[in-house]
Amino acid sequence: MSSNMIMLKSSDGASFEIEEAAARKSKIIANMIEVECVDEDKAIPLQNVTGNILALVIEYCNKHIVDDDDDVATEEASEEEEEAKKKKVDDWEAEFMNSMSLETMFELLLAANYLNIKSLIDLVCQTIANNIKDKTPEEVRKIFSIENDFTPEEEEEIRKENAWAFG
Amino acid sequence: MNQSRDTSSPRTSFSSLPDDIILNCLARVSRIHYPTLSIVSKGFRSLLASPELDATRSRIGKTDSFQYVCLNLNISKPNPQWFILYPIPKQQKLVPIPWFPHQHPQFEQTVVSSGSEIYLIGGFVKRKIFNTVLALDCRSHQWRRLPNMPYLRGSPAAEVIDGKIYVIGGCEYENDKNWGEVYDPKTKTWEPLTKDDVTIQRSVDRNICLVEINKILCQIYVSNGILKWYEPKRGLEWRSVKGLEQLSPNPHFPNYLKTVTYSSGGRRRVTVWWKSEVMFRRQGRHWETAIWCAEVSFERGGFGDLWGFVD
Repeated sequence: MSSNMIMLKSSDGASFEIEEAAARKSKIIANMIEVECVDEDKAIPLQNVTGNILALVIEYCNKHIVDDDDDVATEEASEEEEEAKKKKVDDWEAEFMNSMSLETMFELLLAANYLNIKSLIDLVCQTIANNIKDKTPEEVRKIFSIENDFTPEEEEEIRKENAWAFG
Repeated sequence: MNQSRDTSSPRTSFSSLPDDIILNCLARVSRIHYPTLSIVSKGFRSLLASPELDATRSRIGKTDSFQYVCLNLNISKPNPQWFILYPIPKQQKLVPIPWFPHQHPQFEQTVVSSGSEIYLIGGFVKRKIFNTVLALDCRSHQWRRLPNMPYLRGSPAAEVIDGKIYVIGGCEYENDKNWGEVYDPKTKTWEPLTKDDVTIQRSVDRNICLVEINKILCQIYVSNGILKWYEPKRGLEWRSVKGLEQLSPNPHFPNYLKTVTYSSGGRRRVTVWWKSEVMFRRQGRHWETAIWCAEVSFERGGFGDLWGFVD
């Protein structure tokens, strides 16, 4: 399969070559390609994304472009095959998210938001949600470096309001 | 590819993410964690209380499913109490929900649920019948009153169909006029039902669950402590579900079941409930009541038998 390659350039000057089909996962880039403001020889500058984060975004897009193609091509795939394929993607995504620090996760989320890649936004948000649940307020503050801006009295008041949940 | 090593961007933190992104994360967490999360910071608290959170949850299709339990442990002095069964494995516990602040029926109310609300319909206080309908909003755990039914109803049959509450029977003296009525939440009004224009059949007992077994709808209920089943199409008599004897806490009293309710996840399984009393010697004697429940699925056996399996 030969497909068009396009160039992306990160905010810190790193250039990446990516298949057009993979790049189209980003609504912003897809838009740029639609209105033909992409010059074949020139890289698309992405001012809000650093090179190390852009590399992760591209890894994600490359992995998912194949899946999307398959969705259309193999409509007759059996249920088990579908399930096996979904599990493979889920495993890859879990491994992918596991490999990065929380800070990288936030930067990746900002990049996915800026580039408008919905499935990647959902993946990172779900991972963060899994990190939040089952934690005490103190743990959540610590993990996410959030400052407690309640006075002890205010905190007590909210605990009382929600006493049913702490009973 | 020439990747730059310059990563000296300012530290990115959770708080620096845009609100819609933080909402997207919070919306994916079960509501049971929201009270805890609202203590984290003022920002969290206001996002969790915002209407945008509900909008985000419905956009991503996030729903929670909880089991609610109403217990009345003292028959002589009725004092029913509603609980949520805290859905976290290993720390499963019953979390009490504050009661409706005004006088309300405590006996023989009919309970139905729709969306995120539970409705308590009619019922008794002492020997007096009521026509009140209470609604519990399971998101906020606030009670509110719906408009009263036109007739007093003790323990009517009820069902929610297409968002409307159908109520039938339960009047002290039944006639054609008071046979049944339907409540439309959109218009907030009760309309009378006649025997012709209703699509539901009056069920014999409020404790009946409909279960699909091999694509046939069967009725399941608890009678004298035993799980019974009935296949309406074949018209056979009520028969005992086999295979549940080993669940009994005391082999001398096999008839231990109290009631049966629907399980989450389709009409294939039911939850059976029973209680056992254990005596403790801690500063004198006292009895502790343990409430048990088990999910049961069904399978056909030979000779028209129905076997239950504890999941």
